[in-house]
Amino acid sequence: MSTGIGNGEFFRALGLSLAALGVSAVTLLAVYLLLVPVVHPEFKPHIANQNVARVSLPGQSFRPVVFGSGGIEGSTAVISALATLPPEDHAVLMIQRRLQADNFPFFRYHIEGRNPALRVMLFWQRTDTPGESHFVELDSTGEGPQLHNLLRHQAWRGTITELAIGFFGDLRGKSVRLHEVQLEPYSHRGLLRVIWAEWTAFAPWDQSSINVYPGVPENSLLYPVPIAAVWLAMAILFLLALRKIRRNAAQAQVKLTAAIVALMIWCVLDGLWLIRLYQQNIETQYLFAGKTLHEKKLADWDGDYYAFGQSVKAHLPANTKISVLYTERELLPLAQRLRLHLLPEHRTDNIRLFSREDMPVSQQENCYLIVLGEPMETDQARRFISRPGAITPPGKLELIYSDTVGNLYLLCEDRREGKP
Amino acid sequence: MTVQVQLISLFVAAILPGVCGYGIVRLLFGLGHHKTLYVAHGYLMGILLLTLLAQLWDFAGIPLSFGLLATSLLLVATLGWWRVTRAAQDPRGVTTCHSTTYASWQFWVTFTLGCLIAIHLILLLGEVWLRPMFPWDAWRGWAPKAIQFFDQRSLSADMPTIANYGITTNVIQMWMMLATGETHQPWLNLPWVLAYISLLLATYGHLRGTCPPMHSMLGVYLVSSLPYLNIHTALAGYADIWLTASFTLGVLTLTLYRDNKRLGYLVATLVYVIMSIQTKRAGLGMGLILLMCTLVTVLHWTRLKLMIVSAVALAFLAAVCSALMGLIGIRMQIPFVGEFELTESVIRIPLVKSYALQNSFTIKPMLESLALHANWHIAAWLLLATLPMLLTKPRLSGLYPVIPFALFAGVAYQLAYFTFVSPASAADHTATSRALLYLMPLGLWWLVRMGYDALADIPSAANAHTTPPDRTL
Repeated sequence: MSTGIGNGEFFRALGLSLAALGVSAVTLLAVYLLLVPVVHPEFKPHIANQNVARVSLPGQSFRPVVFGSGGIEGSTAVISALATLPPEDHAVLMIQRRLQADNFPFFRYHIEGRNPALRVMLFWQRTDTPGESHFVELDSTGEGPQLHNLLRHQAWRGTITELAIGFFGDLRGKSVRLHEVQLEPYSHRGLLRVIWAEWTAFAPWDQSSINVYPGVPENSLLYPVPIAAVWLAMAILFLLALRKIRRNAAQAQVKLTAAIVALMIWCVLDGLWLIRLYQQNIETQYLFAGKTLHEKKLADWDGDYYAFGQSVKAHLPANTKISVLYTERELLPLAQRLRLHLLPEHRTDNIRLFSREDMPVSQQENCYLIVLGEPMETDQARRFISRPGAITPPGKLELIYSDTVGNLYLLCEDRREGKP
Repeated sequence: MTVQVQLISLFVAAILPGVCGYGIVRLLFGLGHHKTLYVAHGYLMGILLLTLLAQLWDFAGIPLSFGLLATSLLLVATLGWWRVTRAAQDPRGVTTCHSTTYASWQFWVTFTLGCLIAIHLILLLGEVWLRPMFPWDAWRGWAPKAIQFFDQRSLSADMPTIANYGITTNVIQMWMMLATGETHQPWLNLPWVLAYISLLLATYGHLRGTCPPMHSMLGVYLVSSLPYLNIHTALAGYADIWLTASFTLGVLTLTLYRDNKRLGYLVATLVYVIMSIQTKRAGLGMGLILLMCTLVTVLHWTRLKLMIVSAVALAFLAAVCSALMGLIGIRMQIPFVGEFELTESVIRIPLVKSYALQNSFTIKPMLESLALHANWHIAAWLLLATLPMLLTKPRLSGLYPVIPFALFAGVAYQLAYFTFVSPASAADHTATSRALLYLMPLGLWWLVRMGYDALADIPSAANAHTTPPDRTL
């Protein structure tokens, strides 16, 4: 390809490839919009209701139900602090409004001040399920007005009586401002904006990131990769058709142009990935840059478990073996994270779900026991362990340390130097 | 340890395996390749050497330390470096393909691709440098085991976290810990970035043998931008990137053997077989595939040999199918290793694990991972598009046949694994993308190499070796 290809020939191929990309993109778009009822049958009834007027709800029309502090500024609802309530800090703004879900597949929202640690949820109530709240998490797609496809969620149907916007997590010292929400009828423009929003939605790393990278949120309308493949195929078909029409185009020229087209489409997909990686980098910088290891660990997703581990370390002599009981199945990963945090000083070689059968094993092996879970449950565990009917009752049961993560107990005499 | 000393130790620990491995690779590969190829293979070889030395000293009962491992690495590598020093007097130059004309557009395209690669690298380095251990199995299994290795200065862990699942990752982490005295610092995972860089350098180095700089850089860009490979670099701590690197470099080494029947290439490939097997359980299969690739490459295929091998392969397949259908049970006592067993309900691999066999696999997750998800951009689609070319263009299908063989064998192995051993890990997407990761960089290398031949209208790849030396890039 490089042998003998001069600048002129390359730029001609580049121009042709841009034209092929443009023509195939327009064709692809037209075909897709024509086939919407086939590709996305869920939109079929909504296409007939395109003329319904949109419903605009400015921020000021929402009533704060739960929040720490905030107020109304002009037409905007401002939340400057979340209410500190379990299980997570949050604020909820609500509005009562009767509307037909079938008329509005798209939800446009303009929320300023979002960050990756703050989840934004849309709640609604329906007449057929009074008192039951349905909800959806809105993708994080940056500042400015965004569009969400409500048909991703089966519960969006019937007559809606109430809408609410919930903010969960951490404001990171800034205010979050709800300017306006709109319920929109179907439109081609809306559909394309939704697709773009889904393709550029950002979610920070989670524990499934290492397994798969879908590229779009769950139940999104289209995956970018097959669309890119179809785009490439159409562009190549266009080039072949052009060669047929012009008759004089050399085969090498078509090959070069096709290669440029393929590379450009690859770069488009890579651009989507780089945007995401860059946003993740900003988040990582925010969380960890300029911090000591201790501060980084505290800022990590299980910072309270790390802090608990540090407190346990402060209370125990080195090289202690510890048993860990967790009171709910969901706590197993956190028990394993705690094991990592306690290394290398201590070994938690016996991690088990709290149950009667497991108790003797825990007690026989180690003199120290950590019970992870809610205080009420850890207290229940304590009472169970100390019950005379337990299969192997511990020699003693002394609470050494306790916080919201769990409790540390001494079960038998530790005769080593530096014991608590 | 002061911060300065720690940084120096970190730097030394990061590059020492590469420095040592470089000499060995020069010894095995001889002269005549692009420098990036030596550096890439050198790092991987150094890591494998480190793993073997750690096991050797541990077997001998000697407590592991940074000094001990570093000294032994240097001693073993001396032979290679001595050879390098002698060979430096050799007048032969680097033989790489060059363009007869080098238009300015090629420079700018190469430059742009280089910039894009640098952006990926910087963003990934930022993640590895700052973020504490993040992915699940890394904190659940690999890192706790490595910390115990470090704490006990031996390859034993009294607290079980992850079983006999491969040693490479643990030794790499322990090595970094021994060098710096730290056990939880994010930058201990720097070798994961170096494994990524090795893959990129190997892609470049192996392409430069027959392609000009722009095409080689294109190959590097395609590999460097694979999102799923980026993820396994950024969220460091898993073994998969090491298996990807060892398998890819192993097969690429075999492509060198096609043009020059040098024994060192075969030795290097066998080293990568060992590394694949030592890295994780899935590496056993990938290592065996690499071994098969070696046989395919090395054997001179007369009609008689082909018939014998085909008959043996068919008999083997028939036996496996019969066992899976419950008609027979295969049990073999392998000396010093243990019993191998294959029946309708179980496969027992000695020293590894006994797997209960199942049959509830569906192809859908694998197709989703390949064709729908953004793991590989459009790489899978492009590779699919080359299949007709393999059938219609004999010249292209004859270009490094070992690579399509390796790719098809890899896919077959994964289909068998997900069908009989772990359909659940395919269904919930926990393992499908990881399994495909082992093959994708090699697939892209092959794509670029074939693409170059298809586009360049040159008669054959071998001709590129006859072109005058080019020392650019």
